[in-house]
Amino acid sequence: MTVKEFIISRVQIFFFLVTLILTASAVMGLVYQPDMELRYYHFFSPILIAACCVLPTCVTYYKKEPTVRQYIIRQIIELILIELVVMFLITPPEGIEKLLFYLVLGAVIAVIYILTMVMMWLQKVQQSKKLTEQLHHLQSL
Amino acid sequence: MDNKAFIYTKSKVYETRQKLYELEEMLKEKHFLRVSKSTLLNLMKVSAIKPALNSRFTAVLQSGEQVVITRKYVPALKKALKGDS
Repeated sequence: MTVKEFIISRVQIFFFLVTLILTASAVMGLVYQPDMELRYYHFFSPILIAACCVLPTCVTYYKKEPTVRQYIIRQIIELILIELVVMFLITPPEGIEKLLFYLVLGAVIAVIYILTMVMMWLQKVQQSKKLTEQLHHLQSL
Repeated sequence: MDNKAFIYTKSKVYETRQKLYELEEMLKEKHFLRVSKSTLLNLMKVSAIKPALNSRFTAVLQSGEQVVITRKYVPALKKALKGDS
C-alpha cells in the first residue's frame, strides 16, 4: 500500500467515524441525558474524537502485504487502541456509574468500528461488481 | 518454483522454463494479466471478481477455481478492464 492510498483510506474512515460517532452520541444522549441542552461547540466533539481515532489506525499501515492472520491481528490492535483513546477522551457524566458507562462506551465503540468495517466492505463489494461488469464487457468484445 | 513456471489449461498442466515476466510480455496482447507475484491470469477465463480480506480481490475462474489478486496488481487490473491495455 502506498502512503497516498493509505491517507485516502484514513480520510474515508474519518468521515465514516464522524457520521457514526454523531449517531451514537445522539442515541446515548437520548438514553442518558435526554434533557441536556447542547451548544454549538459541542458539534466539534465528533470531529475531534474521529480525528483522534484515526491516529491509532496508522498501526495498520503496511508496505509489504500482510497475511490474513497479520491483517486480523492488526485490526484487533487497532480496535483496542481506539477504545483506549476514546475512553481517555470521554469522562463519564455525573450521576452515572463509571464501570457501566465505560462498558457501554466500549460496546458502542466496538459497534461503530464494526459498522465502519461493514461500510468499507460494502464499498469493496460495489467495486467488485463494477469490475465484473467491465470484465464481462471486455469478454463480449 | 525451481526456475519453472506452470501453465494450467482446462485439462492439462504444462511446465516451462520461461520466466513469468517473459510470458507476461508475450501474452499481454491476449488479455493475460499479472495478478500476483506468481500468477499470470487469462482474463477471458474469469467469470467474476469478488472482494477478499486484506485489500485484495479474488478472481473466480470459469472452472470454479479461485485466484488471489493482490493489492499491488489491482490498479493494472482496473486499467486493463477499462480497455487501456
